Amino acid sequence: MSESTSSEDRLNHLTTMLIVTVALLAATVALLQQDAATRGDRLRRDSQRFAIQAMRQRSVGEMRVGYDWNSAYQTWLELDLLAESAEQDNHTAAARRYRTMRDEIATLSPLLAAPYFDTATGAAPHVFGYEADTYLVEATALSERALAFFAVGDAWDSKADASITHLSLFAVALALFGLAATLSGRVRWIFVSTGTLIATITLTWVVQVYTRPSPVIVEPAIDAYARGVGLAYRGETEKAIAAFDQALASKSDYANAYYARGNARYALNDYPTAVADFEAARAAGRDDTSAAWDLGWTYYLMGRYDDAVRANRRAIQLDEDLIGVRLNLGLTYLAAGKIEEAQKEYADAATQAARLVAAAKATGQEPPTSLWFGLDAGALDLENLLDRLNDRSYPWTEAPPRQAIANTSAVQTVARVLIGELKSLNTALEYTDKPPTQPLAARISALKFAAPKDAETEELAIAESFPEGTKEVAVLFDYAGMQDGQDIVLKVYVNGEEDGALRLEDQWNMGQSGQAEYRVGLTYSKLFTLSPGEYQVDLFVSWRLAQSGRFTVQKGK
Amino acid sequence: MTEEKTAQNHERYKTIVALLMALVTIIGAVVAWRAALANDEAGDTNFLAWHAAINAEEAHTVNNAALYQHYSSYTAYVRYGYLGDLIEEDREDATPAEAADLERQQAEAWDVATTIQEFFPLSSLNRDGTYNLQRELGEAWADASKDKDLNPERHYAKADRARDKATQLISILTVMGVSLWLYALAEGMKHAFRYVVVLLATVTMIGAVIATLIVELR
Repeated sequence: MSESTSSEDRLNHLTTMLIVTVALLAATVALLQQDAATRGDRLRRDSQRFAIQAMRQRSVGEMRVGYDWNSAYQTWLELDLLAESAEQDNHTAAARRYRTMRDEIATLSPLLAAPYFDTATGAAPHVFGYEADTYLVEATALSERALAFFAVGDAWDSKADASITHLSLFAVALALFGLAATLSGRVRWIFVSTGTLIATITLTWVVQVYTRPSPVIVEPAIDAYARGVGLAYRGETEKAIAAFDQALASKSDYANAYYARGNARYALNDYPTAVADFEAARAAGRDDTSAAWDLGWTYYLMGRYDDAVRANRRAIQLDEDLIGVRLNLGLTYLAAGKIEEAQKEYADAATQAARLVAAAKATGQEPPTSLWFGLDAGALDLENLLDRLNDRSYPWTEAPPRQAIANTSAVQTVARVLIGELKSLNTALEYTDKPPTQPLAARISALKFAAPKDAETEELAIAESFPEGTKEVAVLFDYAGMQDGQDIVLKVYVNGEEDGALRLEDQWNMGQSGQAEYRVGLTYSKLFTLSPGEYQVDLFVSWRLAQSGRFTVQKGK
Repeated sequence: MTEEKTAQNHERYKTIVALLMALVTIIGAVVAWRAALANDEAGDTNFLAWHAAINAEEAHTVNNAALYQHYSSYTAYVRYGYLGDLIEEDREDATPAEAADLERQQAEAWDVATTIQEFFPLSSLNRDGTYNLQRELGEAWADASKDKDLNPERHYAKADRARDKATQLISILTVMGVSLWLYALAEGMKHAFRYVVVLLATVTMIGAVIATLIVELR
């Protein structure tokens, strides 16, 4: 009896000791939880502070630069032009007044002084450098700090959350020990053993959670990255890469630094290292549409079509409204010689574009201009592919190596059709909010270009190339099957980008057939001429691309 | 008789230890409650800090937007005012016909400059006629701070103090857990050393209570 009581007492005491031990552990975990939650809270709070400071830096910086560019420089330029115009009209005093005023205006803005502006060269101020110095580097550093503090705070929050689970498990163990005190025999031992097992497992988990290293904020990496962003923005690409190298040396899993370095290397046409950086950025956690888009495009340029398809599909998976990526996907299939897949992707992109325009209009909004830009860029990419196949190269030409393009004959035929469809779709959506409905009935001959032979006569000389200083170029063509009242649009692209100031809109009134002429240029101006470059003229009849042609304005007299 | 007395003493001892364990548990509960209140205060204060930070950012953005609108107007003012001044100089050397035209142009320029003056605060001009951007921003900030709380830092500091207080109280709670554990250990002991353990537990508990009072009264 005495032995039994003694054994009972020992067991009771053991149970009591287990209860208070677990209670002590729970109190310790509560302390750890409080500490982790406090750290997490402060870090997230600092993250929010950095985020709003970055926002302030950007918005105030944009306002500052907006004033410097749109008010100060615009006024400076206006006065400079007025001075030049007065000079041409022999109004010397007026020209001097305008120049003096112009110089006075230059004192109002740092943008109009060294190192951003040199009046001797006549070039526009280096606004990118000014933006980088004024706010971009600092705002980038603040944004990155916001992200870094958030990541570390999130890690501490995870520890705090895990501790809540630890405390719950200790509570379960305590409940089992408490119940064990009311039981006897084998069942009591089962409760004590189970409680002990749960407490031991929980303790192991606690140790594992709190010995796991938390991410750290690497300030030198952030500063180097921000510096790199500023240098890249200024156009100092190689220095930017060196800065990103420094950032990655300090923090080897810095996703944004990999991505930015990838873009810098892409700008230097170093595609293999660029894709390596884009892939590293994704592996480090930057699995967003930008990284996937850039990766898909760079793989396409390298002729690695399967990888390009995979990356483009990932971008579409993340955002199905990305018309540009859908067009890139179609382009990739086309270059790979997979004609049917390409046609399907282009058709899907067209449907998606029409759907976006209809959705915007249905809610009383306008479609974003990036949509028009995206469709235009899609057509330009097809033209670049054709240029590559035809061994024509321009500064803006981006396409895979010629030997990497498969099924070239079919690719050329289909690319021409797709260019016409894309451009027609773009124009029809822009003017009517709907895809073109009618097929092209008119027949337009190849476009010819001409300029007056000299200033004294209106007689035109047909050419494909014109000297610098040419004020206007006539677009000549024969036509048949036209109807009066049809809508005509003439779009002019300079070095691959449309110059909106040169666009012509007209209603046809020249009958069914004959010869026609439109003029491209700013004829009213005493000062402006067509800038040197490669010109492409697209003629649309009832929103359908009817004919295209190219001419050049040479640099130098 | 001696065994009975020993048993009675042991029972009394166990009762006292049980009462002390209950006491330390109750004090622990009070400390936990105070820690929860401190955490709650930290959360509330953080919100006030956040609100003040948003107010401050709004003031910065609005003030700068106004500033650069004013500065744009000032730029136009300089342009037309200076044009008038330059025409004045040229009038002296002009022919009578030119002078009449210049006089008209000068009047127009100065009229435009005068009209534009209404679009920026004249108080932002320095004595030499240049624009003082910092002064205007400073005045706008002072005006905004009269209407709204623009200082999140004091709230952040208060929230930090509340969080620190909660952490300190929970640290004390852990110390009380040690005291409880010692009492439990002593409860099962039978030799004289148990009194040393009880004393240690009691000292720990009293120390924890004093620490709690210090944290609360600071």
